[in-house]
This record gives sequence, structure tokens and C-alpha cells, in this order.
Amino acid sequence: MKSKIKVYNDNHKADSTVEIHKASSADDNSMQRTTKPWAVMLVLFCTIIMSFSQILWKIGSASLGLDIFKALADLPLVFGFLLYGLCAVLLIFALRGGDLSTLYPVLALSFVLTNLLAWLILGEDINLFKWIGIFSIVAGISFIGIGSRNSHHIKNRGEAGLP
Amino acid sequence: MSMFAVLLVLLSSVGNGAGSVFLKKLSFKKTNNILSLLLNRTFILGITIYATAAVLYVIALKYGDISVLYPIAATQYIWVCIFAVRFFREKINILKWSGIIMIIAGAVFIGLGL
Repeated sequence: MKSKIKVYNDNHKADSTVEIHKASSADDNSMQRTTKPWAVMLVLFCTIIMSFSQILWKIGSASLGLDIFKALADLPLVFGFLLYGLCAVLLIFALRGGDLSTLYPVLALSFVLTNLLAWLILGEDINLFKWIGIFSIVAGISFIGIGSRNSHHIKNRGEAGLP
Repeated sequence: MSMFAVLLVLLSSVGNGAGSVFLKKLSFKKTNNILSLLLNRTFILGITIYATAAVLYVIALKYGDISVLYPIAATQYIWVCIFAVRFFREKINILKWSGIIMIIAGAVFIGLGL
């Protein structure tokens, strides 16, 4: 637990706000130990927004050249980027509820959602390869979820055994 | 031209990973004041990297074969894990690594199906 507190402070040497909360950092550590369900839900929500933004890019980039002014006038593209930015802001809050290496890969579901949306909105079909890919990604994210629970479990047990 | 697109997507996926490091760093701040979060140097740096990565991705999609670019874009989950270990000392066990490999394999298959 000590080393974790050290990392926490190392990353925020210049942050006065964090210094104030130093005293409660032991609490924060126990908060961070497991991935919070609400954090996963928020990342899932981000994923939905991200998929829509990718569909908008795809619609927008159809007429896109390397002309910046033309790109700025391209409404689907601009709206897609705004949604992407919103996604980043929501991620800040979501990442409060768990490890980066656990929560960030959940965003890979955007591959799955983008395909489903492309099927519903753009009329692209989903073939066997895509189904295998979708299955593999969903299984991979489950593995990460199970893996994160396991690592915390082992870590906690290890700490309990320490003097 | 295809090699150029591959390079762009690789850059974009590293950028996505780096951007998420900044977002995670920000998430340690306890304030709920959105404005103070958004006007933060960390956020501005992070969102700039993120936006640049997104622009590179869109440009690359225009010039490259999407079935090649998808799996390369999925390598961002490897970079994120490497950064998470390096900067936040997160523990990543074999189950998590295999999950990442499965995500990339999934992206390969989706790319094949496109």
C-alpha cells in the first residue's frame, strides 16, 4: 500500500489540490482497489458516444480532402469530433472508479458497436469474420474484467500476509 | 501510400494511449468543477494529443486499407497497458494480457470481414 501512495504523490508533485487531500489518500487507495460498476457503466456510455462519432467521421470523411477549411465546414465531421471530445471529458470521471488498464480496454467495444451501427444505419452486412471478431473482443474484455478482479484479490491477500 | 497510412494509424494509437494517461492523471483530482478540469494544463495537453490522434486516424482511413488499419489501431490497448504499468504502477496479470491479445485478434477478424 505504501508504494501506491508514493506513486499517487509522484504523479502530482505540482498539484496543490492533491496535496490537501494527501491525508485521505489511504482512503483513495482502498477506493481504487476494485473497479467500480458505475465506472464501467460510464465507460460503456462513452463507447456508445464514440461509436456514433466514428460513424459521423465515416459519413463526413467521404467528401474529405486535405483541405482544412473544407473539413471545418463538414458538419458530420465537426460534430463527430465534438462528441469525441465529450467522450474524453466523461472518461476523466469514469477513470476515477478503477485502473486505466482495466477500464480503457472496455472502449474496444466501440469496434463492436460501430459494426452494429454500420449495419443499422449504413446498411453494411455482418459476415462470419465480423461475428468471430465481435465475439473475440467481447470475450477479451471479459478476460480483462476477470483478470483485474483476480489481481486485486491476490494483491489483497498478499498484503494481509505482510507484517 | 499504404505504408504512410499504417504509420499514421500507429502514431494515432500511441497518441490515444498517451492521451488516456493524461485523462487518468486528471481523474486523481478531486474537484467536480468541470471548468477547472477543462482549463487545466494536463487536460489541454491530453485533449490535444487525443484530437491529433483522431485526425491522424481519419486521414489514414482515407488512404489506407481498413482491414490492415483496424488491428493496428487496436494496438492502442497494448500501449495503454504499458503506460499504465510505467506511470501508475498498475498490476497486469496473464489474464489481462490475454484479454488484450483477444481484443487485437478480434480487430484482425473484423478487419478480415470488412
